[in-house]
Amino acid sequence: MQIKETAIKVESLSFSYQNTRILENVSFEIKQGEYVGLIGPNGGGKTTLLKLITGLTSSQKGKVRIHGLTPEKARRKGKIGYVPQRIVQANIQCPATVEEVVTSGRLSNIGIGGHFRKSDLKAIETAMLDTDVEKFRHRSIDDLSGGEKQRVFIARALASEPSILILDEPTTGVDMKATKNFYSLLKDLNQWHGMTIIIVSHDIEAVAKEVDSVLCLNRELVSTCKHEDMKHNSKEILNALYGSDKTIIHHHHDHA
Amino acid sequence: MVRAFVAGFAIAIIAPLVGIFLVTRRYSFMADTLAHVSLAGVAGASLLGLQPVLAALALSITTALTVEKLRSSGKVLGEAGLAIFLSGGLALASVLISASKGINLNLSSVLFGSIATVTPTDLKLILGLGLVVVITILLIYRQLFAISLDEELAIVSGLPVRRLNQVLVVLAAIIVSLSMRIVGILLVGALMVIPVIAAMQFKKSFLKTLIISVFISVFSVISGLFAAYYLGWASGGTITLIAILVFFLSSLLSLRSK
Repeated sequence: MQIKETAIKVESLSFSYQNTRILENVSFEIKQGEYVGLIGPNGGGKTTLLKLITGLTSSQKGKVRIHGLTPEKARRKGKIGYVPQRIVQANIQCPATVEEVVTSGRLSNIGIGGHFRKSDLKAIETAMLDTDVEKFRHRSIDDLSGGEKQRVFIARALASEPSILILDEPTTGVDMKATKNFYSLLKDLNQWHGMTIIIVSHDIEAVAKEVDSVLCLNRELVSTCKHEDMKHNSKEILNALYGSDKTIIHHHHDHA
Repeated sequence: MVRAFVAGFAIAIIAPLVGIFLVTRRYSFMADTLAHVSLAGVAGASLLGLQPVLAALALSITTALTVEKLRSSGKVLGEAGLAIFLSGGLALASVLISASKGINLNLSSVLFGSIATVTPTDLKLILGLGLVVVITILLIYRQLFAISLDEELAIVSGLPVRRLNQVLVVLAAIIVSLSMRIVGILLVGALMVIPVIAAMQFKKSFLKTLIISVFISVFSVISGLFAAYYLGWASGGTITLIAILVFFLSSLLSLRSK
């Protein structure tokens, strides 16, 4: 049996902000090619955890390693693709075409004053083709719908050919048809490209259906479970996470 | 007159090259703040008998780096930091001007620009440092665009965002100090910002927006200098009014094309 490499290792991670503990002794490991959902209540530390993994915030206690590297070194090698939540909803004030946005994701490969090589241009084209944004490459980013904009920023994240893709509540503000296409794209990236994916979502049902495993975070790691466990023990997990009786209300993403 | 036109042409090219990155990062008031600080530099130079452009340059670069440090530390919000230095610069300038009793300082030409005051030394500084600005922007254009799009995304893409931000504000400080002879300290910000906002009305790519803004800037400066020369008006005010007129025309054109 093939032993998969560890993509992300989080060890005894704690983080406080203005005397409030946001994360408490969080530890877990994600193997290369795993598709992981991160769920939890608002203020439960999900975004802080993503910022610590991407190195946008420095850790105070404990450590994060990406393929054995610190987040800063992993970033410089273009190993992390990141799609923040607000970018999809934001009215971007910067004049830019889709092509310019996607190309800006490949800059870790060229230094100051450097030029793109053929391999860089090919990676940018592939990222646009994989996400189906190539057909509107010359359109202004602000003229796109939420779903289209989301695909453009995924293409931007893919342009550096990362081994890990991190998405923070990516389906917020996106219609049902686009959400369905989005999950299908992530499935392809995970299955065909072997990409490690971490997705934060409030759509617990969709996450449980799509991912290999779920990390349940409410300041501390409440549980880590496979998606089959999520199906059978969802009530117990949700109660532990949200503190009171919660039920999943089923809906279908294909009612576009 | 020829000196003023050559200097004006050079400034018209470099002002929007840096201005576009300030506007897209909602940092438009940086230029105005640095201009007010430059006034203190000019007043200090007048008091101590120093070269005014160099004194303004030294003070505005120091201020630009301090403002950027405060902003990136998160201790002071970007705009609030600018407000402190804008008022502080003007306050220091007023004290220094009153202390120097106006010796060697034509206040009106410093505030509103005058084509008659461009010296051969000024022209050498404008052309030399202008070339430095153009080369630097050519080298880091893609990186600055990525930061303008989203600073956090640029950090995760592995870019040295803090260093690039420092380079950007130093370039802004250089342009402000070089432009004050032509457009005047009170209107320097306009030359860096208005042509860019006018070009943004056309909703083109970032690169095309930058090229259009340079054309608008060159048109505003050259036609403004002609008008100032033949009509005897203040060059800074004339250039700014023409740039504003182009902005309104651009808005109308972009509305008609929708």
